[in-house]
Amino acid sequence: MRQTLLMRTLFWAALLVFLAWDVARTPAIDLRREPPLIAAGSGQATQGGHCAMPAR
Amino acid sequence: MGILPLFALGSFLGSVHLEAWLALGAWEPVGVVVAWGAGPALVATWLGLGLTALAVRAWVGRGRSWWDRRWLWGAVALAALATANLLIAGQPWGVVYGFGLWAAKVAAASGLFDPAANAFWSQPGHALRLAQTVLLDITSITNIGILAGALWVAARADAPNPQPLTGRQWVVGLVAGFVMGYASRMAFGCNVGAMLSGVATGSLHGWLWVPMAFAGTLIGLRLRRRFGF
Repeated sequence: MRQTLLMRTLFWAALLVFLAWDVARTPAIDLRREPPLIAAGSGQATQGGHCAMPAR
Repeated sequence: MGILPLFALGSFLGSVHLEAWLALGAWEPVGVVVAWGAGPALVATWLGLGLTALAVRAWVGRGRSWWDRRWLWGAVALAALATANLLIAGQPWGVVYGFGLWAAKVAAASGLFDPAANAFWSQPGHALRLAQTVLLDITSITNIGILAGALWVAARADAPNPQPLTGRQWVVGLVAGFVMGYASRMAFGCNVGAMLSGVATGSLHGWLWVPMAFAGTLIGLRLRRRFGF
C-alpha cells in the first residue's frame, strides 16, 4: 500500500514538473485571444490537436 | 503509470513515421454526414449500432442479460461527456495525440528531434501546438482528466492489493504500451479518438476500427493469459 502511494505521488510530481517546465518555456497564454468558452456556434476553428488529424 | 511514458513515446514515433506509412497507400476519408447529410447519417449510425448490438448478443449467448445497469450508466455518461467535449472544444474527444505531443515536446527540447524536418510536426497546426503550452491543447487537458479519474477510481477500489508484476510482466507491459501508442497513431486514434469519436461523427474509419481491434483483442487476451496477467 505504501509503495502504491509512493508511486502515485511520484507520478503526479513528474506530471506537475512536466507541466511547469512546459509553461515556463512557452509563450504566456494571451487571455485576449483565448479560445471561446463554447466552441460550437462560435465560428472559430478549433485549435486543439486530434488523433484523426491527417499527416498533411 | 510506468507504461504511460512508453505509450507516449510510441504515439510520438507513430506520428513521426505516419507519412511513410500513408505513402504505402491510403483511401480518402469517408464521412457519411458529408456524403448523405445529417439525418440519413444519424439513421445509418443508429442502424449500424443496433446491428452491432444484435451481433454482440449472438456472440455472448442467450444466458446473458440484455442490460447491465452499471455498463448502461457508464455508456450514457460517456456519450454525454463526449457530446459536451464536442460542443465545448469544437472537436471530438481524443487521447493519443495529446500523449504524443508531450513526448514530441521533450524530444524537440532535448535536441534529439527536429520538428521542422518532419512531415507531420512541420505542419502549421502541429508546429503551433509544439510551440505553445500543452494547457492550450484540448486533448492534453482531457488526458489529464482521464489520468486523474483513473487514479481516483484505483484509489477507491475495494479490490485487495494486487500482486506486484514480475520482471517479465513489466517488460511485456512496457513493450505492449509502446506498441499500443505506435499502432493507435497508425489507426488515427485509439478506442476513444478513432472508435467512439469516429462512429459518433459518422466517419467510416471508426467502423473499420471496430473489427480490426476486435481481432487484435482476441490475440491480446491470449497473450495476457500466456504471461499470467
